Amino acid sequence: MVDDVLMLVDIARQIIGVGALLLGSLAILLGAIGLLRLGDVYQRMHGAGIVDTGGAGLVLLGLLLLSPDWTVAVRIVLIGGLLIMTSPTATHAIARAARFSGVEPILSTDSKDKEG
Amino acid sequence: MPIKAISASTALMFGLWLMLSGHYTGLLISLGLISAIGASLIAYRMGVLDEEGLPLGLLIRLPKVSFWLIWEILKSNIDVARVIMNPASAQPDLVRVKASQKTVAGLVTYANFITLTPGTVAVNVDETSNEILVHGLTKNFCDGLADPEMDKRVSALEGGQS
Repeated sequence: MVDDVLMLVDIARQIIGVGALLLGSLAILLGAIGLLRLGDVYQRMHGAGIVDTGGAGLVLLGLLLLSPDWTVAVRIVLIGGLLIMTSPTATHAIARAARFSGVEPILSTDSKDKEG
Repeated sequence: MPIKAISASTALMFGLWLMLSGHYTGLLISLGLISAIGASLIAYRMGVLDEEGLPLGLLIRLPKVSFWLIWEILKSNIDVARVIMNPASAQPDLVRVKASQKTVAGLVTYANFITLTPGTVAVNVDETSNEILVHGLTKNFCDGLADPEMDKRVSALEGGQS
């Protein structure tokens, strides 16, 4: 009885893990499409944001669920923590660099006066 | 010497060493502990073990917001995905957001949270006026920034310390 439940939990874990990997890959694909389709540097960064958060997060969640033992799981959690701290910093660095080198963002027309 | 900061940093580094090494014999564990203490002492000598380099209170309270933050990130991921499917619907805008954090680490955390949520990117942080210049992908994202919930949650992370 207990064995049956454990086996079901294990199967559910694998299904959810693979599902998270697939969803994560989809998010990365969407982010890449966004990187190509959106208008200017600043807008493209939002596409990259999907890759950084939804894509990386879901892929790491999937790998975490499928990890064979706890040493691998600990490393995956650490990688996730590292990404959460570094990826917004990198995105911010690109945005700041673009602004300081004079790249003007395309703004929707009704708000030109707020720019500064 | 600020024993608290050094011992906290040693504990963090030794914990990391224990999780990553996979060798648990007496000699190796003591060598790991010695390197953790040594690295903390060097970090102290470099002057990076202050509130900015090791914001302990903030790190300890961080798990409190993580579930809320993950939920916010999921929601805005879907919103940005919608815009990507229809790039013409983008209404990019720059807005200034008032930040209520008192410490530099808190301000950086708020800016990072804004950038971490897709659809909004912190372009510039002004330390003197406590303002963050944010690029939003659509009007919705810009309006969402007027909601002070994230600001409040990050300020709560700072706790009562100075």
